[in-house]
Amino acid sequence: MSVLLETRALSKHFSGVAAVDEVDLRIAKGEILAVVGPNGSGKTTLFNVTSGFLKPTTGSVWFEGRRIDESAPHLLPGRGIARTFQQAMTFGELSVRETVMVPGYTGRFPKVDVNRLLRLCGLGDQAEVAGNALPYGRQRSLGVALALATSPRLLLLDEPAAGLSEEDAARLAALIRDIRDEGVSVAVIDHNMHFLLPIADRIMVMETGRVIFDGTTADMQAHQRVIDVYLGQDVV
Amino acid sequence: MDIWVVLQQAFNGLSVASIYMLVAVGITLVFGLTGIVNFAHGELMMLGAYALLVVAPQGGPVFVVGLVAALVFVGLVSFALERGLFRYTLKRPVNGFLVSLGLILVIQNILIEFWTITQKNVAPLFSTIWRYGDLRISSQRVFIIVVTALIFTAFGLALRYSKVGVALRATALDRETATLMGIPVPRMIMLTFIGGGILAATGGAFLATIYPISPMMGSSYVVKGFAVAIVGGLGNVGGAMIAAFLLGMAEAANAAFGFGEWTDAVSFALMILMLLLRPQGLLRGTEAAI
Amino acid sequence: MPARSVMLKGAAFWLPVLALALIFPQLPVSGRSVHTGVLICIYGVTVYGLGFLFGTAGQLSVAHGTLWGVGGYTAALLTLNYGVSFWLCLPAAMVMAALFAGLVGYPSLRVKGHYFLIMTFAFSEIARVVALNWRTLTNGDTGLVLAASPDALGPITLNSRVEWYYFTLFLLVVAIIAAAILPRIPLGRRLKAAAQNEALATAAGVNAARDRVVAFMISGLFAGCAGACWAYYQHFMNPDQFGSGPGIEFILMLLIGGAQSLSGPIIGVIVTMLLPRVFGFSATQNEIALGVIFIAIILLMPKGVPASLGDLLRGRLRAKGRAA
Repeated sequence: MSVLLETRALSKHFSGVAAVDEVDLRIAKGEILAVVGPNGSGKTTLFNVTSGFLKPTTGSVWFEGRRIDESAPHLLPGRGIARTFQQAMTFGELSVRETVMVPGYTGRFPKVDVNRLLRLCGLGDQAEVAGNALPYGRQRSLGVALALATSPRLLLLDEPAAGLSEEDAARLAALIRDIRDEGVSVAVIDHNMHFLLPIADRIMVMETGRVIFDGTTADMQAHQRVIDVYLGQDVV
Repeated sequence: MDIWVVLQQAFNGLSVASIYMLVAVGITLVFGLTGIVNFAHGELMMLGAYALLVVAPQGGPVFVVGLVAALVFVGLVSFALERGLFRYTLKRPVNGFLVSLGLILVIQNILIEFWTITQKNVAPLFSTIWRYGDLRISSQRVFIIVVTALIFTAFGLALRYSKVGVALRATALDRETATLMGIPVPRMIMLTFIGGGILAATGGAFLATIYPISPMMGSSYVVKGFAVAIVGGLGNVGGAMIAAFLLGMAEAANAAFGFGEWTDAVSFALMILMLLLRPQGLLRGTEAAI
Repeated sequence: MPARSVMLKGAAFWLPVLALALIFPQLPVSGRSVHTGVLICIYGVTVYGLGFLFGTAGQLSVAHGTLWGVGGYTAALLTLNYGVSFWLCLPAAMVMAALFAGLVGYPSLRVKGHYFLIMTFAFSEIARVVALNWRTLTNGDTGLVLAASPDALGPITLNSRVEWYYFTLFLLVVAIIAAAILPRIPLGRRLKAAAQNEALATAAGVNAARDRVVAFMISGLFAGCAGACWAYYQHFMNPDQFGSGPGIEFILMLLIGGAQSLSGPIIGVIVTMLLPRVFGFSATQNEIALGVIFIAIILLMPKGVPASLGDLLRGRLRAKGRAA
C-alpha cells in the first residue's frame, strides 16, 4: 500500500521536554489508523505538528511525497489534510450550515453538497441551529462535517467519540468506515476501545512521546507491554 | 562624533530608561495577571507628576514630601479604580481596555480643566551639576538612577523571595491554577494595580523634575511603557527592565545623531521590529505559543 | 427570523430616517445645525468603517483618528503642492489611509488581539509626533490651510454647507450599505468565523492573519474618505486631529450605539455630537462627560445603549405578560 503521510524522526519539545520524541508515523492510503495512549503521551501534539499548527523541533513531515512541515497551517487543508479538535469547537453563533460553508468561502476547495454532507454526519435536521446551541456530541459531529467540507484525502480526528452516546458513537464509526471506503485515510485519537477496535486497520500506541507499538489489533493483544502500560485486561 | 556627546546621551538615556522601567512594570504586570491592556496607566504617571506639582513645586528637600504625597495619592486612585471599575472587567479583558480609554478622556480633561493645557515645571530635589570635561552630570538624574536601581533591587528580591512575590508570579503564570492552590487571586490583582500605580507615580514625579509636564504627557509615556513591555515580553518584569534600558539607549543614540525630535518614533520602530522578528518578545512573556 | 421580515424591519427603520435626513436642511434649522449634520455624516463614515472592523473581524483600533488624519493630510498636500482636484484627492486619500493601515496591520495582526490595540495606539501617537516635527511637509503645529473649495464635478458643486450636507450624506449612505454588505461576502464570512474561533477557521483553510489585515485596510478606506472630506470642509488640517484622542472618540461613538446592529454606529455618532449642544458643555467638560458615560456603558450596557434598552424593555413586557 502506498504511503500518504509520513513523519521522519519527528520531535516536538516544550521548554526542553519532549512531548513527541522521534516518532515515525506512517499512514497508508485508504486505511484507518487508531492512535492510543494515556493522557500526555503526545498524541494531540503529534496531530498538531502533522497538521501544521505547531512547528517540529526536529524531524520532518511528508504528505504525498512533499515536505509540508514548513507550510502555514491554513494551507494544509488545501493540500488535502483536514483535522478536528479535541475540545468541541464551533464558530459560536454561526449556524450549522454557515459553519460547514466556511471552507467554501476560502476558494481553496472543490464545491461540496452541504445538505448531503450534513445528512451524512447526522445533522440534516439541525442545519439552521447555531453551532454553540447544539448538544455536546453534535458539536463534535459538526467538527467532523466541517473537516469533510474541505474534501480531504487525510482526516485527523482528535477524540471524536468523547462524550458521545453509544448510538452516536456507532453512527460515527459507520461514518468513518464510509469515509475510508471513499478512499480517504483516517487517523483517530480516542480512549474508547469499544469504538476504536472494530474500525481500526492498524493501531499505534504512544507513551511519553514515543511509539511503543505499531501493528494490527491481533498483534497488539499479544503485546504484553502495551497491555501493561495502557490497555488493561478488561478491554482486550 | 564627540565622545563627550556619546557619554552625555548615554547618561541622559539611563535616567530616562529608569523612568520607563517604573512605568512599564505596572503595565506588564497588570497585563500578565489580568490580560487588560490598560492605556490609562500613563495617566496615573501624570497624576503623580501633578501631585508633586501641587505639593512641592519649589523643589529642594520638600520634594520628598511631594513624592510621598504623590505615591499615596496615586496609590489611592489606583485602589479606587481597581475596586470601582477594573474589577468588573476581569472576565472580559477587552472591557478593561475600553474602560481605560474612557479614563484617559476623564483624567486628561479634568487636569486640563484645572491646570490648563500649558506645560508646567517642578524644581528638582538636587540642582547641582557636576562637570567632567564636556560632560554635565545632573545630580537629580543620578538620584533618579540610583533610587530606581534600589527600588528594582528591592522589587526583584521581593518578587523572588517574599510570600506575596511568589504568589504574584504564580498568578501571572496561571490564574486558574493559582486560585486552586489557594492564592487569593483578586487580592493579588488589586495589589498589582496599586503597586503598578505607585511605581508609575514615582516615574511621573521623577520625570517632572527633569522635563516639563502637561496633561497630555500620559499617552506618550504609556506608548513607551507598552513598547518596553512588548519588547521585554508581556508579563515579564525582568524583560521589561532590559527593554527599558535598550529603549533609553536607542533614544539616546538617536538624539546623539541629531534626530532629537524624532525620539518618540524610536519606541514604535522597536516594537515593529520586535513583532516582525520575535513576536513572543525578547524574553518569553506569560503566554505560550499556543 | 426569516430574511424577508428582517428586510421589512430594516426598511421600516431606514426609510423614514433617510427621508428625514433628506428634508432636514429644508426645515427651518440654523446653519449651525446643518454644520453639525455634515460632521455627523463625516464621522459616521469613519465609525461605520470601524464598526465593520469590530463587528465582523472582532478587532478594535485606536488608530482610526490617525488614518483619518492620513486621509486629510493626503488630500490637503496633494491640493496645496500639486493642485490636484478634490475628486482625485478623495480616492488618493482613501488608498493612502488603507496603505498606512496595512503598514501598521501587517506586523501586529500576525500576532493576535492586544498587540494590535497597542500598535494602533502607538501608531497614532507617533503619527502625531511626525506631523508636528516634519515641518517642511506638514507645517508643524500650525497645520495646513486649505482655502479652496472643491471644483465642480459636472453638476456637483461643494460651495455651501447644504451642498456639503447632501454630498456627505450620500457618502454616509454608501458607507452604511457597504457595512451591510461586507459581512455577507466571503471575506466577511471568513472574518466572522476566525473572530469566533481562529484555530478552527485555520483548519478550514482560512488565512486569518491576512484577512484581518485586509479588513483593517478596508476600514482605513472609510477613514481616509472621511478625513479628506473633513480637510476640505473645515479648510484646515493640524496634528490635533491626528493623535489617539480622535481615535478614542470614534470607539466611544461606535460602542455607545453598539457595534452589532447596523443602526448602532449612527445612533452613537448623533448622541455624541449632540451631547455638548444639549447641555451647553465646554469642550473639556464634554470630554469628561463622554468618558464617564462611556465607562458606564461598558460596565452596565456592554451591547450599546439601544440594544440594552431594548433588552430591558422586552424584559419588562415579558414580566408584564407573565403577571397578566
